[in-house]
Amino acid sequence: MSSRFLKPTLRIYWAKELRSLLRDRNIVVYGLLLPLFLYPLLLFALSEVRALTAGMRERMEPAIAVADLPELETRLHEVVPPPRTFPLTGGAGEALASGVADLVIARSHGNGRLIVSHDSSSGPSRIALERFAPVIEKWRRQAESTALARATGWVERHEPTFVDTSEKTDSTRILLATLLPLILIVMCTFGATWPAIELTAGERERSTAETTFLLPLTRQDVALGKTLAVTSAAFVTLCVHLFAMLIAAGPLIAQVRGGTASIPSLAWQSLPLVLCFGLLLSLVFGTLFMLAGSYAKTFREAQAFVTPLQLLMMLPAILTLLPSATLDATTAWIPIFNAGLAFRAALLGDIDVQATATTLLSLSLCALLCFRTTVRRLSDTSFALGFADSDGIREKWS
Amino acid sequence: MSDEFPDSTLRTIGAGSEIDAGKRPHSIDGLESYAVMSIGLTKIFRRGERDEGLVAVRDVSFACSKGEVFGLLGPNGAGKTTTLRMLSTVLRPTIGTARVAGSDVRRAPQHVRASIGFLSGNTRLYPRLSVRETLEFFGRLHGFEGSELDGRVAHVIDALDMHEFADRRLERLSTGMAQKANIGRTLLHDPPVLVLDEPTSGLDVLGAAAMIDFVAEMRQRGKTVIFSTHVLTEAERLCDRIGILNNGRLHAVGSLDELRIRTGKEFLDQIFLSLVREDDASGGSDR
Amino acid sequence: MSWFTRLRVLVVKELRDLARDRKVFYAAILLPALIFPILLALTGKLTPEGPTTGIGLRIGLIGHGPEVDEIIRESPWANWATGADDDRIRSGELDAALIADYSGKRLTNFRVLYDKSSPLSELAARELRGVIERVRDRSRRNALDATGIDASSLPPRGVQYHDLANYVRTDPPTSPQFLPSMIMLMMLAAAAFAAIDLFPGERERGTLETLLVQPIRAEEALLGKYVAVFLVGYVAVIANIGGIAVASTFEASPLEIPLDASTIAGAILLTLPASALVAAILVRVAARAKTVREAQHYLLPLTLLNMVPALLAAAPEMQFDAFTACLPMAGPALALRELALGSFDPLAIAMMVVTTMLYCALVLQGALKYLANEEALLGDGDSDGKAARVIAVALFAILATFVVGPLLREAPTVVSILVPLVVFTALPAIVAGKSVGLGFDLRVFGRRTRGRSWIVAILTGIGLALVVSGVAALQRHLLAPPASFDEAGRNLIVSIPSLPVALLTLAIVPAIAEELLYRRFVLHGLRTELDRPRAILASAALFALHHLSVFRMIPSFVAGIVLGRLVLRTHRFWLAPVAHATSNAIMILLAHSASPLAGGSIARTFGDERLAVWRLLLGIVILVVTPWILERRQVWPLGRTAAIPDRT
Repeated sequence: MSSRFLKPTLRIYWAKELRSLLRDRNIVVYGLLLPLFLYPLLLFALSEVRALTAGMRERMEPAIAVADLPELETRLHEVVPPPRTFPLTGGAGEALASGVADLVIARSHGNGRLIVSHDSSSGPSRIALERFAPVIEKWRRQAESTALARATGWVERHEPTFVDTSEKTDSTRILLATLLPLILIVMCTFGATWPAIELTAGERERSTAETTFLLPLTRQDVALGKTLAVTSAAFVTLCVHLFAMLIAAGPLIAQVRGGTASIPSLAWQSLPLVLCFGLLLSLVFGTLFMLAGSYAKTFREAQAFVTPLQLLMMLPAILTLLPSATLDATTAWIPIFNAGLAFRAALLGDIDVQATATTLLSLSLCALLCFRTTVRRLSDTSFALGFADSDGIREKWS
Repeated sequence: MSDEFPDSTLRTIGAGSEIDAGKRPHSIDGLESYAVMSIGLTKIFRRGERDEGLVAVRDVSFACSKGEVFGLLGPNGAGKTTTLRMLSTVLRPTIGTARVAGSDVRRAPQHVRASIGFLSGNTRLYPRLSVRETLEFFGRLHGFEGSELDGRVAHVIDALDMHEFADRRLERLSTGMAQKANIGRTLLHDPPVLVLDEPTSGLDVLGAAAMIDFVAEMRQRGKTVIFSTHVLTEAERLCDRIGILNNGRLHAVGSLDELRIRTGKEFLDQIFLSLVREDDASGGSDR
Repeated sequence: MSWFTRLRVLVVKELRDLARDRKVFYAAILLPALIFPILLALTGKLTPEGPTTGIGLRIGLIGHGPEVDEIIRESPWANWATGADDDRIRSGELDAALIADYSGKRLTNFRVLYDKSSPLSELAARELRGVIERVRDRSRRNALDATGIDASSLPPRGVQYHDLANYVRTDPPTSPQFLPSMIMLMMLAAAAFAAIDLFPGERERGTLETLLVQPIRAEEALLGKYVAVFLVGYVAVIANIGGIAVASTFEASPLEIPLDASTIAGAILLTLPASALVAAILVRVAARAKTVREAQHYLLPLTLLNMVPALLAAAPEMQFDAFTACLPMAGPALALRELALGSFDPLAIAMMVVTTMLYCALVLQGALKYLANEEALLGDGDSDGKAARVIAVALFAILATFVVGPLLREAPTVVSILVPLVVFTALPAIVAGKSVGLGFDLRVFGRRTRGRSWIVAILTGIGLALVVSGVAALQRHLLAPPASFDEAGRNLIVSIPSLPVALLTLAIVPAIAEELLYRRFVLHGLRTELDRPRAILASAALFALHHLSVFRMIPSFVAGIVLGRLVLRTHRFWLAPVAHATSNAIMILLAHSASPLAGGSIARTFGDERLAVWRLLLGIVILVVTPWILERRQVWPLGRTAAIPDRT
């Protein structure tokens, strides 16, 4: 295989395909420029919405009806900004339903518990609960402790402490490591889609397929060149997104969450590994989409074939967001899903050698399979001359 | 937005004053024998607010009488399509106007559209409708209903021999069949004027021959046909009169014999070349 | 034939045409109807129902005593292991560790070690906290009960939370927040298919011109297509709501809302105006596109834009009232949310319907205007993209400033203000100037500036300061910024102790840099393709965006209009920076602690919210009267009498 890669004609062809892809305005704008603008724009919108709602939240003055608990009332007034409290008259349900109160605190006479009522269908009521429930809990515990100390002299000293042992308590890093795999995989599929369609159905639509196959290259070389060009384009997209995210994410998350911005302290040493996974993924997506596109006669038809496939590829990536998804001996065998998990592990720097190796193996096998099938399909006469009857495929699909 | 388009430039040309906006204009003495009359048609495409614009057609004036076949000849980019689009009211002239079948293209574009059949490479048909549905749709837009509509559709299908594929969707028809359906669409409302923009381009020999037969038949039926082409033999065979368009200007109008006399050349291709070269030599390009 | 008959013929044809495209069927019916049932079925299967039934969390344990035993009893979800240290948690061997310190038999402290970077570890810590608190509560209570004190004189035993909303099945209800935006998204996707098929699709298939040579009006053709697009989108909405209704009957449905017939009917009715608006926007956008591919590319920004109102509608702080009902797209989403939550405000709903239909009509009118331009309709009119280039450069400047801002937060204030201004605002404006035909000559729009013009500029600056402060104060009634925003503004001025430096960095340099970009580069570029009012409005909108905050947008938009007008009417660029700097300088002089004016009666008047309207009016008077008095209608004519051609 390696000798084939060195063949000068193949290199020339690959370079030509790549150049023409990079001159396509759609590919440049959507593969390269968009990521640089997209994340700032998205997070800008997000941070503005948050600022707006924060402003509204601060202006809210929750009304709390408190039934005969003066100490709690005092405690509630210590919160900044303080709520408006008033004694409860009538039932909690009425007070909430009429909108007089956002929160009703009363003591049950049966079991001696505190009953906090709110109405989750009202925004202010939910916000009031969110803001004051911890205050109420804390007040109750302290009141109990005081009562206990008064009665028995037993002073409760210990408060449980929570120690975060993670080396860097950089929450940006965690958020980024969780989101980045999904974004990279999704964007990689986007990066592969246009070029893959362009070099299969697009070429047929522009009637340049025959010209291409008249070049002094073997069919396999042409197929190889196309595959490599699409893979490179997808990989470049992935790298641009990675770069854009790493640059933009730190400041932007800081904008949203407050605090100082820094370039997130991801595990840089695992970057080669990330790029390696990315390359394999690009190969898988590029070849798969080309395979689908090669059955289509027109650009639009190719889109109709590739889009469902693209969504299908995104699904495992979305599943990596589940908190229970971790890279282990089993999940490392599921292609794409494993890549997402391995991305995350690599970015956080906890690399399990065995699982990583399994992931690499499984992805490589998958890529090889796709690659072989696609090269075979693209070397086929039916693709070259456009005799492939996509109607047959369509009928099979429907 | 309105189709009516009062414009002071009209008055300077002197064509607009007699025409009542919105109504079918009454005929002007001596003009009713003309089916199509173009008066100083000019089209300038402007890109933006400050763009000086690109003059696609400049001051094109000609007239053709009823039952005449008029050919517009010119190289690619000469302004043939733009001129025909203005005549068929797809484009609004920047300056000048035209009367088609007795109506003004500026004042009464709907009347013009109702009385022409326009066919060009850009007027294709909806691929997901069948031939019959297509004809019915266009028939309805022309105001036919009920039995009259059915009768006309049946007649057109009959006349163009489309029974075999009348209920098939257009996307499943061959180019020739689709072209027939398209011709059927232009004939459905029996327009007195046909405007054909390069009707034979993209057709094979048989299709082109059928198209030419069609134009000849239309002439026999007394229709006025304006068509553009860059195929000189077609023009030579069909046209009563020919207009030669280059760089957006109309250089010569006349019957083949008149043009022969003017240029002193025998064949149309020589006539054409000599006129076009004359224009290029005089620096006729305005762009 | 009446126009209505023609419209019906058109709509029937468009719908028949669309209905035969299988993709439209998928997008309008199949996908919206199935997405919720499938999604809910999937998420119901995939999300573990709390740690009790799901995965066993591995917890390391050090220390032994009765409390620990109790905790172990209370945590059936945990796999306990003895011994723990930081490394074992960091390596993921343990999810968390519980360390109980005993002195003798007495518990002195609980410590929980966990790793915040691991979601599982965080979950374990959260669970442990709950268990520990429960155990402590119980022991405390037992001790109290043992004292024999009357229970009624003791603090409450515990806290019970009651949610009195009538619809709630489980807590907390999130679906009313995200469902409206999901419905809108489905609607957008389906209607987009139709819009793309009927505009650029027809253009590509060459059928648009066929339609235009028929005896119908352009607005009839447009309306026919619009109605078809709207109907397809609305069918998708109905299918989507049907799907949600089906999904809500699922056993493990996370939907908290029981959907009865009246809610479903209400939802279908309430989505009508929004669907009409979305269809209008799509028609407007799709009509621009020459090819299907181009139209598809417009979809992504549209979808992203749609996210902003969706986010707003999801915020519990947003209430549905007569004001918020008027916000485009957010109003309908809020109305739908309130419907799901079971409340009903007829006035707000009426406002929502009226305003949404109004926006819809405006957008459609815009589409009609665009289509009246037949070159645009046929896809012949091609702009050379100067306006697009200018907007791209401005967006770059805005986003770069936004991204770099937090990175410079640690730097001295002067640096953090000047770097974005010089590097990302002034520099792009000058460098990219060549691409729109501006040289390095900074006098563009430049006639020689005379002494009198400077007075105009300074008076404009004073008027501007009054108007902007008035607008900002009035805005606070509608959009209240959070306290942190006001504080940041005050800190900015305070952080530069020297008044001259403050004037330089906050007034003079920003004025020059921003004016170079927006009043020279952007305005000039936009003028090549837009008429004067549009160019001014567009440049002012970008200028407003540059201020990177919702709360500054409206005042800076107004400022952008005033300054843009000044430049285009006087044809003198340098008046704008002077006016801008004057306006900024006034604000700084009134607020800066080293300034003699600060704290005086003028400053108090300026800051007084009650006088906002008067300031605004005074400012407007100054802006209107200044040029009239000084130049006797020569420099800045109020009418369009002196139509001096712009220098190009």
